[in-house]
Amino acid sequence: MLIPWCVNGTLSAEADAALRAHLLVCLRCREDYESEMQLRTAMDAEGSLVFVAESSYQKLLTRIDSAALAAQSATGTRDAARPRREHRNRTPGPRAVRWLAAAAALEAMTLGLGAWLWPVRESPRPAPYVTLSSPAPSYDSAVQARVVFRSDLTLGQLRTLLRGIHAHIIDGPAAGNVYTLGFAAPSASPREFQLRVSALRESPAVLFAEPVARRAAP
Amino acid sequence: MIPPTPYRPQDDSAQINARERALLSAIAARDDAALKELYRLYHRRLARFLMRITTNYELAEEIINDTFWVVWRHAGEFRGSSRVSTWIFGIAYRRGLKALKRAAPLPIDPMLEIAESDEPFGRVELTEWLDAALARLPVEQHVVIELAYQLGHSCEEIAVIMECPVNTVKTRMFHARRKLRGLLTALAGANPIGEHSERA
Repeated sequence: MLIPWCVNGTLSAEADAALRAHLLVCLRCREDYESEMQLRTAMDAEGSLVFVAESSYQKLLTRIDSAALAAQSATGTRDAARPRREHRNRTPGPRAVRWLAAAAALEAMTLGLGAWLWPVRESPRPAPYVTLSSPAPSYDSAVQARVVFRSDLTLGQLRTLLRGIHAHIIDGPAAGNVYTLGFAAPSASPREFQLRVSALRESPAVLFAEPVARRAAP
Repeated sequence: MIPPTPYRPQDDSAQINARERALLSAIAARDDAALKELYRLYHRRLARFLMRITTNYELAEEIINDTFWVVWRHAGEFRGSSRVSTWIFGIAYRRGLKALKRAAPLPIDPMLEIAESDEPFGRVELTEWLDAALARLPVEQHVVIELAYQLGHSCEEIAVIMECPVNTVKTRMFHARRKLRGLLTALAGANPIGEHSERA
């Protein structure tokens, strides 16, 4: 029972010495020890697999940034997933978070377009009447996402969520309560777009979020 | 002949653990440079461990990031009752078990039955056959082997990682070794060394 721990060098010095003394006089245990050494060597020798940490780490950063963004959007507060402290030569993750937060605040102050197609409105100000032939609003129509929200989501929560990621509901609900979101200009870079979709996925208010393939330019 | 005393990983573990504890403290303060350093320190070890358990890199990567997501959120709760590596591998093990339960079971070669054996290994192509044999062990026994032989954890540390008594670890190791011998013997019989060597 002690041989594996002798082989991997974690046995106490006293037990290790006792076992080694036993190995001198016990052929069966010595063979056992040798076969375990072969096993350990074989497991240690596996060096053909190369694992690249960087791309995996970037996914982790995206997840952290998205969760921080979603938490701020949903509650207006910071929790355990609060933004990480940025260092030099970092990826633009936290910068993007701050940019999105600032843009969301600016949008909230100046545009007020967060729920312009939402059927329930809190503001007494009449909303613009929109038809299918109305001019396209100022969002980047090349990037869209399909989303299913939780059924108990309040309008306030929805608006906060959408403003945090510069998104508008541009279609829906379709079958399965699927809504299509458009993302406000300026056009998001692929990383920013991915960040926004990730924020949707991390949000407790969203059951499903999937990016829609970019449409080819006319 | 007296077997040589192998390298003892605990000889320098205190210094390594002190550094990793410092990294955890920095991570608790949301220092992403510390997160990156700890991630790089563990990524390869976790990837190898999880690849052997799951045989699926995407799943292994997902579990690694799940593990570090927990590290990021709970680094401040680490109290140092175990080594940092024990804590991190404990998280990875539990996340890995959950992922394996969700994943479809791996296809098993019906020709290869698990039989226990007391016969020692011959000098066979262990590396070639090891993956096939390990994949046929119950996951708890497989994990004990990986943690002990690939990662050098002590019996007590493995008990912490797997959240079970030390005697359970010893029992799992005992059965894992016997089954591995049976499997490797069966594989050796199906692939005689002489034939293999002639082809080579």
